[in-house]
Amino acid sequence: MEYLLVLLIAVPLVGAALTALLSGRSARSWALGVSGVTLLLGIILACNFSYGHAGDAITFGGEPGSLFALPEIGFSLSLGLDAISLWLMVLTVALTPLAIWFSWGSIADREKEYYGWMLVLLAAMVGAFIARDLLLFYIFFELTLIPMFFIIGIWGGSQRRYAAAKFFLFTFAGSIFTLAGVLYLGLNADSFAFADVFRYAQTQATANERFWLLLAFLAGLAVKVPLFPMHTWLPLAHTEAPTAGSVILAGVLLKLGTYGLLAIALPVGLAGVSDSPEVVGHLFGWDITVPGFIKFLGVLCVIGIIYGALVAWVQQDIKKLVAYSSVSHLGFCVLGLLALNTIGMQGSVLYMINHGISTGAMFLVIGMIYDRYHTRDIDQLSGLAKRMPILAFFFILFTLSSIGLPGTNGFVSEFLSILGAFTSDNLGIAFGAVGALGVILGAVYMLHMAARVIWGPLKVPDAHAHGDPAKAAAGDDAHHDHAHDQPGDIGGREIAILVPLALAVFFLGLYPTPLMRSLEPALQRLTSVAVVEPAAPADSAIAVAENQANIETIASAVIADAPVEHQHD
Amino acid sequence: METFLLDWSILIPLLPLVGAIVSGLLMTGQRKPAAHWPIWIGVGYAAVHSLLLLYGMISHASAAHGQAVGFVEPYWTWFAAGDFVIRWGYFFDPLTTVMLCVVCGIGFLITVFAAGYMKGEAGYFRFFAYLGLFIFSMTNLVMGENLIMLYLGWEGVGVCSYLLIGYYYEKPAAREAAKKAFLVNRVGDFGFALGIMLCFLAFGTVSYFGEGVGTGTGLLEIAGGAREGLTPFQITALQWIPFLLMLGAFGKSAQFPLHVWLPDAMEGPTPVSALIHAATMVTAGVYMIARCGTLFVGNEAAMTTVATVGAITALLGATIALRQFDLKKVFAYSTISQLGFMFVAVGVLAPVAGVFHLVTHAFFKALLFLSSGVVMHAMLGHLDMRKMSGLKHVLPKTRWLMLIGCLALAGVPLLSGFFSKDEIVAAAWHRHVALGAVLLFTAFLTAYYTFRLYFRVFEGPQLVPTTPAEDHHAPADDHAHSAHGHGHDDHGHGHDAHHHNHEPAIMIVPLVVLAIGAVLAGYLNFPVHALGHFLDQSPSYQQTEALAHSLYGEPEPTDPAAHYAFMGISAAIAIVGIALAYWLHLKDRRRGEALPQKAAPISRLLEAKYWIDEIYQGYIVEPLRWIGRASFVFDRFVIDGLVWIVGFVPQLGAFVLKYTTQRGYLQGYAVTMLLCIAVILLLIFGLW
Repeated sequence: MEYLLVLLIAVPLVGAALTALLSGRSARSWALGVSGVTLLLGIILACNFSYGHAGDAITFGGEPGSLFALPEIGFSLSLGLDAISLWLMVLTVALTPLAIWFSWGSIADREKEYYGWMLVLLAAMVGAFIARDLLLFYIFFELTLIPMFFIIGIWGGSQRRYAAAKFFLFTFAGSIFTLAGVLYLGLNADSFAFADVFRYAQTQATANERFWLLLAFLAGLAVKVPLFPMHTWLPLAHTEAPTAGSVILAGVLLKLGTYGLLAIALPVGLAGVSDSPEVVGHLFGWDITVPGFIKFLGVLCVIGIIYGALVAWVQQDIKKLVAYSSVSHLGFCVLGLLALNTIGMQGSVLYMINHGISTGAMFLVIGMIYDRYHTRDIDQLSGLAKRMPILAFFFILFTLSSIGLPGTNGFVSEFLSILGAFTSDNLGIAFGAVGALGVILGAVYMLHMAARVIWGPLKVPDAHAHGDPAKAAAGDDAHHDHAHDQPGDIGGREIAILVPLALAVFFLGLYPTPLMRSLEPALQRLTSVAVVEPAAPADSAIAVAENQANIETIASAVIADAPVEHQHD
Repeated sequence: METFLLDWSILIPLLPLVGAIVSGLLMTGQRKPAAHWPIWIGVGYAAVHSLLLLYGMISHASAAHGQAVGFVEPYWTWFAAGDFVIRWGYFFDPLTTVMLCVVCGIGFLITVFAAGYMKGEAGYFRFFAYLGLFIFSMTNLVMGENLIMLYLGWEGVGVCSYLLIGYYYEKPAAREAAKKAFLVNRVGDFGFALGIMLCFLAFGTVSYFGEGVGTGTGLLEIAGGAREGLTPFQITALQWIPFLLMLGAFGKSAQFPLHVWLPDAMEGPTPVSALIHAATMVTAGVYMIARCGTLFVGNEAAMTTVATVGAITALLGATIALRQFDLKKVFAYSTISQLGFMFVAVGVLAPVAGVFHLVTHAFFKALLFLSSGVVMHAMLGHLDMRKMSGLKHVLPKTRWLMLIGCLALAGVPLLSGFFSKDEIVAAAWHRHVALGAVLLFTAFLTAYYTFRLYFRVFEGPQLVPTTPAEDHHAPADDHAHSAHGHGHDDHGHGHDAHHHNHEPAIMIVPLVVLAIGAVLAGYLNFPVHALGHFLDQSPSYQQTEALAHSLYGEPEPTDPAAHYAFMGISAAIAIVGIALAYWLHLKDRRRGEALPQKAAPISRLLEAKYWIDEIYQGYIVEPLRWIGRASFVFDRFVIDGLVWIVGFVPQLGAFVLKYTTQRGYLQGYAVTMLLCIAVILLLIFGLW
């Protein structure tokens, strides 16, 4: 089973390399097939996953002498899958084939390169979620930038070059600090393995060190999330990216940030000290304590929730509207995470998945509109329900999911995130209450868009784009109704793309319990602290093994029914 | 109680949901005319199951001899995070079964009516799908065993309301009304959600009765326990919880200041107005307060607020209704006003009277709305009472049905509205004279505006509009093949009205059933308090009463003689109101029309609906939008500007270097390199 983890990365990478050998047209089928195989691998892993396990139920590498290990610097190609990684990986491998399939209808030039980059992106994203080595995580985290840079820069809208450069520089600038943190941790801990660096941070590092490490990780991750006020790259990148790029960007790439916060920044910087009154540092003349800093981040989240929503409300460009809605939504997600209690963190992880589904779907639907009318101007579109009832159905469905209607997936995660903040010792009632205002505003901007675009008297721009041969060639799937020279409703391929997402909306809305039950032990492991003193640091291999055992012990003490044995199948 | 009725109770919401899916996804195109069948079957089943449940509950309750009866029926764990475990499950007690019968019973009648009313519409399948979804949500709302299930139903009916108000989505007015309804409700739901969270924080559960009635594991039982048993935080939380929950109730039940959405909601098709915006959904707030009585009753300020807001809303709705000309708008404001009565009832600790009025109101208001629907259908979409008159010969059956509804609404003795309204007024008077007086005055206004409408539309000289209304959505408008066939080309409509059957059986039969209910529903609780005794066996009621007695002492028994005297006054007031309407709107219409001019400021105030919409638009919506625009500018220029500056510093550096050291001369590089090495060496050896 553990080799499947390697295949999960290797298959899309090899697939991407082989794309170069193909002719332009067949690249798209190839890419869809490769991403489909990756999805299949993900499903096999999910089926063989040992639920209820606190640690990594499936691991690869990390042992002495394993493949690609560089013991001199403590690096190893170590992969692992706990419940959090599992579900985010499943989200990634499920969303990517849909995005690729969507691209069939909208990408007309340089197809080989495009699909190649999409597969590289897939490998990098999956790699970041399943890496169990800090340096490896960083490499995959940064590797996502390159394909995305090209996808925005080559196949994007009119401002694509500026958007791509801004996206790249912005996120790269932040992650330079993260790299410093990664190196500092790894060199001090003599190993980059997650378990070692966490144990170093929790048992050996001073409070001041931990705080600066937290800041270093935040610098890279908060930009990625994005947390207010580091969000300004996002609306532009989203708007300029081709539809599939936006889907992946909103659906998965932003989650790299929240996943990093949860799986790395939290154990490094927060676990065990979230209520300590100790002053951990001074910034701008203020004494910083960890609880105070958490509250500060909570305030940023709440500002982001309200601010993102208000700005989304006044957008002309519907894609930009959804982009700003992500700023608001990710505010909820991080707010739940910062609650540092089971409710909030469960809500937060669920939020990552649900936001990926709903916002990804929203971008797909908007892309379908754009493919037909070549506009995203809210003033130029109206009453599409008349002409495209099927599209309207999905649009409204995903709108409802996005505004957190109970029964859809959005409700559970949004409610739990707010409830987590509300009941948290770190945040409190005020954070929950102000955050909940975002629930009203979320409905305001989404229904504003629905009212303008879907309802009302029919108004569409003239079908001027039909003369564009490239677009026409690409849009052969868009079911143009030539009799009226007007684009028609969405067709079979587009419906098939949206149906799985719609089903996920309801399934995760009505029965998220299995998913949540599997997350619970994994989350508790992250907040619990490695208490046992490490073995002699000279033999790092033994330390790795021992530390695994420590974590298992802690986790199984917390979760009585979790199997203590590591699963090596 | 037959257990299979409880075990299979999930079918009550499920079958309408299945019906909705089948209608919405499969009944398109050629199959469209049959789209009502899945809904008829689903809702019909739900109605039968509800009636059986009611019957079972009655026999169980009578065997329990006054003890509380309630059954928890959990199905699955909906979601669980830590201690926050939410079950998808239902709770059955007398209150639930009564509400279920109202929802499914009246719901079924209205789906039957709608099949006639909506015939030939382009969105026929869509309409029935929405109706099925609505019944699904509403039954979950009244059956849910915890506050989250209530919230699920609550928001679910909100979405159905949104979709149904916006049914004629091409009309900008309909789309705006739909959005407004949802957003105003969201404001209320914000409070509701926070109330739920506070309940969980303070009591550790949001299930009404936990593992079962009497186990002390449920929220309502813990909160209803002796005050000494509660922690200080729980006592504090109980100061806030009722106000937060109340906000939700005010939104859903259109109470001041969140009432503004309901009149606009009349943009939806008439059966929707009858089902959702009169009989069922808008009463959810009353249900919530009755259900969660133990959370409210310990807080006198909250109870007073509920009663006061109810009274204000009752008066506000009735006064605005005086100057409305659209039939449906009159009934919309009337609904707001009647809901105010119900809120007064629950606020003065007479929840039985509140639910009693809820039941009777469901019958007569649904009847009135559907009758207006028949009028609208026959009058080519017109609903303006200034454009029609004396329709008693054009619509003879509807006239009698409308008359029964009006008599019940006006509170004429022996009809249902009289008994239920009277109970509320008596209870309010008992609590505070001012409350009672406001309600009595409102009752007078109610009788007046109801019969103003009746006398104008059905009596007097015959006047029938001949041109269709601008936004007329009768089928013929869009579809020439309409079975009804009235439309633009249908000349002389008023004169040959007998050629068209404006009163088909499919529409009249449900109305007759509703009319029977409107006449007889009052006898559920008079002269024997059958409904009252039944509802008193709801654990919510019993525990609320027990808590109220322990806090405020035993209530004084009411004097039966005083009660009958009250009935007399109330009846007299209704008669006077009707007489005034007769005088001003039938006998001497010119005087009736001159009157508003004499009191111009007041009538302008009423016609503008107290400018509440304008105040919200001007002082809440527009400022918020400006903040949004300002934030966007801030985003573009300040935040992004800072980023730009950060990005500019390296560029500037590069620019400087380009023209200083990096000019391509080898010497320059060498000098720079040496300098840098020197600096590094100095740094390393700590010479600085």
